[in-house]
Amino acid sequence: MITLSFLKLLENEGFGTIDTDLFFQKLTLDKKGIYIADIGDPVDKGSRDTQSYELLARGNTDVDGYQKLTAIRKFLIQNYSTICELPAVPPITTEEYSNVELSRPSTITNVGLDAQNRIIYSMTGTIIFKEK
Amino acid sequence: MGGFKSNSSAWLSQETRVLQRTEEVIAGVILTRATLLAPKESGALRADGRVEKNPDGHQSVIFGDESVPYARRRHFENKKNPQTLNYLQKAGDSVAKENVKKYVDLSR
Repeated sequence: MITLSFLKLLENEGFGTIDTDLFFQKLTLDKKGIYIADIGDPVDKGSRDTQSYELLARGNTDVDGYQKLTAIRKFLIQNYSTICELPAVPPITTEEYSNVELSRPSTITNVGLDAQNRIIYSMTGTIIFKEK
Repeated sequence: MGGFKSNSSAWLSQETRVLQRTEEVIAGVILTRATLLAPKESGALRADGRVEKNPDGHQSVIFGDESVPYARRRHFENKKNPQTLNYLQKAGDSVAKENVKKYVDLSR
């Protein structure tokens, strides 16, 4: 559930609201917003684990999703070394994470048009963490 | 006198695991993207996507089975939503145009 805690961080930083325009895994929804998907399973890295993720954006306009991901990317690049904990997301999970390090995210990719003619953009990254 | 002990077999084993994981990661990303690009009527097609391991050890991203027999047809024909044509191929192409090193790094 580390990516859900990461999504909660994005909510706390004002990038949206979970289940309104920030979605955890729910890829089959047609709503506008930011979707997060796990890339593979967590990998053991000694005392910590790593989990890669993909953020996908569907916007109101052709550039809206791109701008949202750009804002998140800028936030992650500015703060990757200062974020040390990720919060629990009650009532879904009480797991909290410490020793968190967010890797520098990838550049933003245009994935294509969805059924509503909206451009989908993507960005990937990795979270290194330790479960409390 | 000192000697030299090659550790190449351990390195090869480690790199083989990374490449296998990279293939799994790429298949997962293609599935995620194809799910978003696929047409939606009832939602059955989008919910039907999956990654399967082939007998040769490689991965395949698959849409369609007995419950969604129209998946292949929707890939090549869709008058209502023509922008969703080739949804699986487009998802694969979007990954192929990126640097594969990105996915190798994500798999280490």
